[in-house]
Amino acid sequence: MRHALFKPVLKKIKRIVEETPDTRSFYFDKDGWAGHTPGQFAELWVPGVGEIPISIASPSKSDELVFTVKKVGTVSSALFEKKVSDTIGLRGPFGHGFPLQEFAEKNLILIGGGIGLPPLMSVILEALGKNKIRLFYGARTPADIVYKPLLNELKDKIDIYLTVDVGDESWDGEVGVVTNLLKPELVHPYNSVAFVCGPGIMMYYTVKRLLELGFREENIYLSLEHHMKCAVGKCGHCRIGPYYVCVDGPVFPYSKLREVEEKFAGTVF
Amino acid sequence: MKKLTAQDFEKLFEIWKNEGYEIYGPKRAPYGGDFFFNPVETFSECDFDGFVNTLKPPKDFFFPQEATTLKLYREKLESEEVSKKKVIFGIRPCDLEGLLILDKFYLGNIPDPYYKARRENTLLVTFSCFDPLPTCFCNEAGAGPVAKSGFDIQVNDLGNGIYLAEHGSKAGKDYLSSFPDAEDELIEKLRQRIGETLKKFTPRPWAEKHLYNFKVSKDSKIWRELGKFCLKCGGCNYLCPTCSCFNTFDLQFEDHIEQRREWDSCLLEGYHRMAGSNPKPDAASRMQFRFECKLSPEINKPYGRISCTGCGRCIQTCIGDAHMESLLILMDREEGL
Repeated sequence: MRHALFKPVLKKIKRIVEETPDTRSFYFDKDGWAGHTPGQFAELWVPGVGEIPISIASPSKSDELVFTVKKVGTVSSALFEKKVSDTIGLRGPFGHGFPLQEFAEKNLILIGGGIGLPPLMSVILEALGKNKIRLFYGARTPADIVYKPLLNELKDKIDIYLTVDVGDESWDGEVGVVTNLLKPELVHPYNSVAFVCGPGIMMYYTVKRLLELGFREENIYLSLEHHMKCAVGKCGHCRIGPYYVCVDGPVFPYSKLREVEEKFAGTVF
Repeated sequence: MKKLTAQDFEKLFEIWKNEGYEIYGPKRAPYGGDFFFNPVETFSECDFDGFVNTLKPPKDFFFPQEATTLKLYREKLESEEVSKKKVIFGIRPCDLEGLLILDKFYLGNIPDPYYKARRENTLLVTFSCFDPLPTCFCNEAGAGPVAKSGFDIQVNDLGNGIYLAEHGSKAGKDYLSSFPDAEDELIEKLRQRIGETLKKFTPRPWAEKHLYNFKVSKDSKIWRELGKFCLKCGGCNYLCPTCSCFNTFDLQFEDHIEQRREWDSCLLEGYHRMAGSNPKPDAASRMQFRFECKLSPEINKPYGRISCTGCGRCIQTCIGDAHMESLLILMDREEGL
């Protein structure tokens, strides 16, 4: 069942995949790890530096645990110094993921921005062959698109729509923000739920667009990012109103978040 | 209700020491300074003269300002759960109420092993409070001046070397069993004493009106106003008996690595900052974050009360006057606007 709350499991890095110039996927063997649901996260501990909360990118059935990390801060930079078979600590899985089992019959509209794709990839690989999936993904430039080979493999099995903020000579696809892709003929609220993960500003406009398209607040699920230390609702950093992002989230229906945003301190995303 | 004398307390101290308890009592820092809970051997060693409350709340014992949680030696990882038998002697009712809230927070839902280990094997001896400071409002916050439950033993100092003690737990009952029952006139004297004490509190009509009726909207001027006063020192958080936030950080030593916990403050900008964004970049939103945590009924549901015990430490320590009383007064004024 539950592992020691604050005591990480020490694991050797099995494989490292360079996804983009500033993003890498770290692979670990799963043994000794409790099962997870897509959307849950783990704390990655670089001993001597600190911990960061990272979404689990692999599906629950996989033998491997995958974390895709963008180099942005102190801990992620230290993690990028690590090589294959170096040891780091893992704690988790934590929080509530996407409630896939509730939506067995529904169409999944997945909308990702930048490094927000990994938890959605866990959803895709979990729900593949079960749900009808349509993925909308936006990255800054073509070079910033993560999981390129995997997206290529998946394009015959699910609908994938890509866009970039700034194109280059190799890019002949859409250019613009991800909300531009959300057209009424592609995104219909009937029998659908939307799962969203990306930067705050992207999620803000995506929610706005989905509501315009007729989605109900309780059918829009967002995976939040927040400052976290303990991941079990004790350190206090990730509190938004009466919820802790680490325990009650990181995945919330927008219906819950709207109340929090209206009433309690700070911005939600 | 039992009647005890100073000699009886000396006996109790002996019993506790023989049972392996470390005893902490109020001690005044040299040159008339602040009070702290320091190790004491005898009852007479405690400084009760002029003692109203300690500078730091007793949360320190269970949730230390800084503590090691993990040690990593090469591939061996050790969890540091410290448990010691201790008596905390002389806790004020406001701080006891604070501890009970922390208990619900740290031991409820997902129990914290570090807090749990430190909290076990602790005897809490409270002293009811007959000389409140002008900053005290435990009467309004429903936490004092006399504790209702949660203590092992509660002592009422009636002066002239006479103490009335009641138990609040099985352990407390056993320790007090050998002492004589208090006479009726002493119990009557205590009742009078409590009545007189209630008259000593500084009148605070705004506290009564707003402490349990927290309704400040997100865009209220109050937050901007308080945010202007706040000097972002974090003093109110560190001294608050119910503030429970911590930061974790790693330290590298020659032969091992330690992960530590330290008190954190939600008024500091770095508390909220992430790589790339900050959901509360301004002092006003951080003020709202702090006070909603103390007073909002939704957030405080698990505790069945507000997370302010009226100890007055934030009022004493804040040099910018961005404390609980300012909030309550501003709430009162906003209504009239």
